[in-house]
Amino acid sequence: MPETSEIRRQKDSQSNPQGEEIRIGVYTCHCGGNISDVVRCEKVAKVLSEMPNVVVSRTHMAMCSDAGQAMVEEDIRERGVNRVVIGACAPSLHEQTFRRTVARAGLNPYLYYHVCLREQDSWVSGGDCEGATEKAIRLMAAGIAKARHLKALDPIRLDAKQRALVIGGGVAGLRSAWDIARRGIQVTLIEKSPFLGGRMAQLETTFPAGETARELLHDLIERVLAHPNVTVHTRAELVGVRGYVGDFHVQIRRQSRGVSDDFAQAQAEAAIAACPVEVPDEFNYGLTTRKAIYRAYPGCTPATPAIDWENCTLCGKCLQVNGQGIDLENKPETFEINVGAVVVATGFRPYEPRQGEYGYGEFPEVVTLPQLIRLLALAGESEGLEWNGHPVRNIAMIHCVGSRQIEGIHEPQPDGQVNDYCSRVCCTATLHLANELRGRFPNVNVFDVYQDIRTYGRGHEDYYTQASANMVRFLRFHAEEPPEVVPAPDGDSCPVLVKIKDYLTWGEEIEVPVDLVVLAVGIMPRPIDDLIKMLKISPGTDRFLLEVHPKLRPVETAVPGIVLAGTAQGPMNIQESCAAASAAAAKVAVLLGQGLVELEPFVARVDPERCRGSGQCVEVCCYEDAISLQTFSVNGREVQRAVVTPANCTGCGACVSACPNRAIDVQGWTLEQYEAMVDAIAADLPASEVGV
Amino acid sequence: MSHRLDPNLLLELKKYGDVNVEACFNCGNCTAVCPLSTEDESFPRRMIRCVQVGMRDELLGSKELWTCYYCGECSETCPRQAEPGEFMAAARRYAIANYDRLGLAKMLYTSPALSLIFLALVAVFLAAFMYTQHGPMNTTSLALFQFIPDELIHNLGVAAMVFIGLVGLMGTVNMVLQIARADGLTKAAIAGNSGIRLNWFEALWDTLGVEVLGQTRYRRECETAEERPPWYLQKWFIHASTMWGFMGLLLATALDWFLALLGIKPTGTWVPIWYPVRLLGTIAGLFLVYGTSVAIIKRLLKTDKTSSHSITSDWVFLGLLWLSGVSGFVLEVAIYLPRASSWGYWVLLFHVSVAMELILLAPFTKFAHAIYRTVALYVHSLKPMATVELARPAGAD
Repeated sequence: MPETSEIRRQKDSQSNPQGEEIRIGVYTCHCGGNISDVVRCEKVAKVLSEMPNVVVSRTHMAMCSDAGQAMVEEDIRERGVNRVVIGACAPSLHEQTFRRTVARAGLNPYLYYHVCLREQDSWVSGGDCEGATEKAIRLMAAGIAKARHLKALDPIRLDAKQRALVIGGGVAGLRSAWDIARRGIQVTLIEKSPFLGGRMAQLETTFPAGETARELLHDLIERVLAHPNVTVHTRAELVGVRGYVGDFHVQIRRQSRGVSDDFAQAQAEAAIAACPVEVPDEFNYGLTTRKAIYRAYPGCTPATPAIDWENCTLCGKCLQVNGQGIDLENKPETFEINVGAVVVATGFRPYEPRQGEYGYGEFPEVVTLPQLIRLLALAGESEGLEWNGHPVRNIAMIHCVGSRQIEGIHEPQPDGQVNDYCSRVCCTATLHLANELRGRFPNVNVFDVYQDIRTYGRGHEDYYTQASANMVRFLRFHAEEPPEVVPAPDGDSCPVLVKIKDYLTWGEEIEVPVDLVVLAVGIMPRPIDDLIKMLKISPGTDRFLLEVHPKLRPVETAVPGIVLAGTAQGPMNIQESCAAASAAAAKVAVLLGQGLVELEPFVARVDPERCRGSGQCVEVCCYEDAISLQTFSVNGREVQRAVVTPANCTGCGACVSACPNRAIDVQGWTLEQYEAMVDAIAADLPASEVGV
Repeated sequence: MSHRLDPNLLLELKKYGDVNVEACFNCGNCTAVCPLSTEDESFPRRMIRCVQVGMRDELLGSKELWTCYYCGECSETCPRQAEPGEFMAAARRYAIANYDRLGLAKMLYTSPALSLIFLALVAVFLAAFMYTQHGPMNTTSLALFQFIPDELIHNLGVAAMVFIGLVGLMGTVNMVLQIARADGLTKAAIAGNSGIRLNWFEALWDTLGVEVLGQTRYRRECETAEERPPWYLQKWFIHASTMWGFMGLLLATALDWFLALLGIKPTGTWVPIWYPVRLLGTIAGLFLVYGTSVAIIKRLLKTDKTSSHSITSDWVFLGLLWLSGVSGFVLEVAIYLPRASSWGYWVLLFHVSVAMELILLAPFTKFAHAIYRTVALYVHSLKPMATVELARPAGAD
C-alpha cells in the first residue's frame, strides 16, 4: 500500500505545533557485546538513518559511558538534535541516566525515549541474528515514531508542608524526630503507650560500649522534649490518612492519660500504692505485676503516672489519696494534622516461643532473653542469682529461637509462615548477657548452645573472645537436630536437662544439667496491619516493612513521602536503628527542605474541550482523590468536568480506556504516541532491509 | 550413650597446670599438625573438648593422653594461644591424681607448698630411720655398709617396690577400666576370647622394645622442630638419656644385690671401676645426670614450648632424679679416694634417702607416667590378630 505509506510519511514528517522542525538523534548501543553479539547494530543504525526526521543515527560500544553520553550531548548542541532515542539496556537501568544527559545539553528531559534492545531482544533471541536484527529495527522504529510525538513535560511540583509525623516513641522515632527538628522542620511524634523509650528502655547495659540504655535514652528524650519544633503525643495512634507527599492529612486519636501533668509527684506513689488492681507488668515481660495506675519504670518519661483503661476498675481508691489531678473518665479525642512526610518507627516485638518450644511454658525454668535482662535488673546488687526460689548454678542459653527457622523443621507461626531470617542482634546480646552473668556471679556456669555465632558488628567479636575467656562453654547444634529441654530425673541436682547433639564434640549426645534455660528469642515485626493499610505501604515476605531498594533507597517506601526508621524495617541493633532513623530524617529534610516536592509527570490529563462529564473515569479510578468531577461554568452554563489531582494519580491509564470521548491521556504515554508506535512496528520494512 | 556434663571439670583441671583451654574455639589446627593424630585417634582437640564441656569419664578414659610426648607443635600452631600441649600435660597430672585413690597425688599436684613440706618430711624420716640403725664410721677405709647396713637398705628397697607395685597396680586397673568404659570395651575384648586372639606378645614388644626403650615414635614423629638441634640436644634424646640412665642404675643395683645373694660379691666389696656392674652403674649415672641437667637448664631458660611451663611437680621430679644421680657420683668419687673421708658416709645417707623417696613416691609424682604411659601404649598396640577370621560371614563355612 504505497499510497498510505507515502501519506503517513508525509504526515509523520511534520513539524511540531511551534513550527520547530523535528530532528531525531538515534543511537544503537552495543552494550559491550550484550546486544551486538546478536543484533547487527551497524545495519540497524543504517536502516534507521533513512527514516524520516532522523538526522543522526550512530552506534557506540557503551552509550552509558562518558564518551557515549558526550556524543549525544554534542549532537544536541552542534547538530540541532531535539529528540533522542537510545536503544540499549532496560529503562530501569539507564533511562534516568540518559534523561540527565539530554537535560545537560539543554533539552527537556522528557524529549528522550528509551528502547530496550537487551532484555527484550538480544538476550531472548536465542542467537537468531537475522530475527533479532529485524526486531531491533522494528522496536527502534517504534521509538522513533513515538519520538515524533514527544512533548516537553515538566515534573509535577507540589508545595510541601513543613511538618513531619513520626510514628513511634522508641529510640528510632526519637532520633528521627530530633534530627528533623534540628533541620528546622516541625515534628509531631506519636507514641501508642503512655511512656517514651520503647524497647530500649527495657534494656540495661548495651553493646558494644556497655553504656546504660536508659541513661542514653533519657538524654535523647530530654533533648527531643525540649526542642521547640517537636510536639509529642503519648497514648496517641494514627487512625486515618489522606493526601499525598508534601500534603498528608493525618487523623490522630489520643486517649486520656487520666492523670494531669501538674499532679503532685509526691502523691503519685501513694496513689499507685492505693490501687487494688494487679496485672502482669509488660515492662518486665510478666515477671512482676503492676497497678492499673502506673509508671512504666522508675524515672520514666513522662514521669506522670497513667491509668491503664483496660484494667482500671474505676474503684476510685486513687482518688481517695488525692483527687486533685486524677480523672477517671477516658475522653479520647481525635484531631487532624497536616504533614509533608511520615516516618514509620513502629519498632519490633520479641518472638514469643510457642507453648512447649524448648520447654517454654512447660517448665518455670525456661525464660526468654528479654526476661533474663529484666530478671538481672530486678536482682539488683544481690550476691547470688535466684530463680523460682532456687539458687542458679548452671545456665544454658539457646540461640536462634524464633529465627532462622526452616520450613518442615520448625512449626510455622499462626499466619503459616516461618521466621527464616536471622534476627542479627541476639548473638551479641546473648554473649553480652553471658559475660555479665559470669562477671556478676562467678559461680554460675554458662553454657552457650548455638548454631552459628554471628557477632558481625564492630567490637562485637570481642564479646565472643571475652565469653570464651570467661569460661562460657559453647555447644553447637545443627538446625535439623535442635536441643531438647527435658525434666531431670527425680532426685537430680538440677531441675531440667538440656540434651544436645553437640557436633563440636564429634556429635556426641550431651546432657547439661541446668537451673535456668534462656531462649535468645528473635525479633518479630509488630502487628501493624491497620497502619500498613492506612499508609498503603507494603511489608516484605518476612512481614517487616519494605524499602524501595535495599541498597540505593534503603529507608524510603514505595509511597513517596513515607520513610522507615528502625526495626519496623527488619532486625537492627540500637546503633543501626539510629543510623536508619537519621537516614530517614535526612530523607524527610531533603524532601521538605526545598519547600516543594517534584514528581514524574506521567499522570492523566483531561482535555476540557472533549470532556462531557460522564464520570466514568471517576468510577474506574482505584486511587483516592486522583480524579473527580468538578463544576465549571461554560458559556454561562454549569457543567461537570473531570479534573485530575496529579499528586494522587499514578498514571495507570484506567480512566483513559474508560473515557467514551477520548478526552483523557496519560502524559508521556498518549494514545497518539501508542498508535504511532504500533503503526511503526507493523509497517513494512524499507526496501533495503527486505530479504535480509 | 549420653554424656552428662560436669560443669566443674575445667575449674578442677586448672589446679593442675597452666590450662587456658577456655580460649579454644575448636578449630582443630592442633589435631591437624599433631604428628600422632590419626583418623581413629584424634588429639589433642578431643581431650580439650572433653574438658571444655565437662566429660570427665571420656577424659580419664583417653589413652591418647599418654601416647602424647608433648612435642609442643600444637601449642606453636594454636591461633588462640590455648596451649594445647600444656593442657595435655595438666590433663596427665589430673589423670594420675584420679587413678590414685589415696588422694596423695592430688595433694602433691595441687598444693605446691604442702607438697614440698611433705617431700622434705618423707626424706628426713627415711634418713632419720636409717640413721637410728647406723653402725660405726670406719675412718681408715670407707666401709659404707657398716655405717648403714646393706640389709636395711635392701629390705627397705624391697618394701618400697612392693608398695609401689600395689599402688601402681591399683592405678593401672583404674586406668584400664576407664579406658574400657570410654571405648565401650567388654572384658572379652580386652582379654580376648576363643574367637579373637590378641597379639599380646607383639604388643608387649611394640610397647617395651620399640616405644619405651627405643623411643621410636618420640624420635621419628614427635621431633618436629623446623631446625633440629644436634641429636644430643633433641627432646627425645634428653628424655631417653634420663630414662636409660635410670633403668641402667636400677639394673646395676639389682645385679649388685643378686651377686651378693649368689655369694659372688658381697655388697660393699671394693671393685675396680671396670668391674661390669660398677661400669654399668657409672655409665647409666652419666646418662641420667646428663639428661636431667639438660632438662633442668632447658626449663630454666624456657627454650621452647615444651619447657616454658614448669610447675612444682616438674621441678620435684627432675630435682630428685638429678640429686640421686649427682650424689651417686660423689659417692663413687669418695669410694675411689685413697683415704676414707667422713663426708662419704653422709653422702650415702643422703643418696639412699633421696633415691628411696623417688621410688617410694613414684605412683604419685610425675614418675607415674612411666607406669601409665607404658600401659596406655600397650593398650594402644593391642590389636586383634584374627581380623580376617572375624570379617568372614557367619554362614561361610
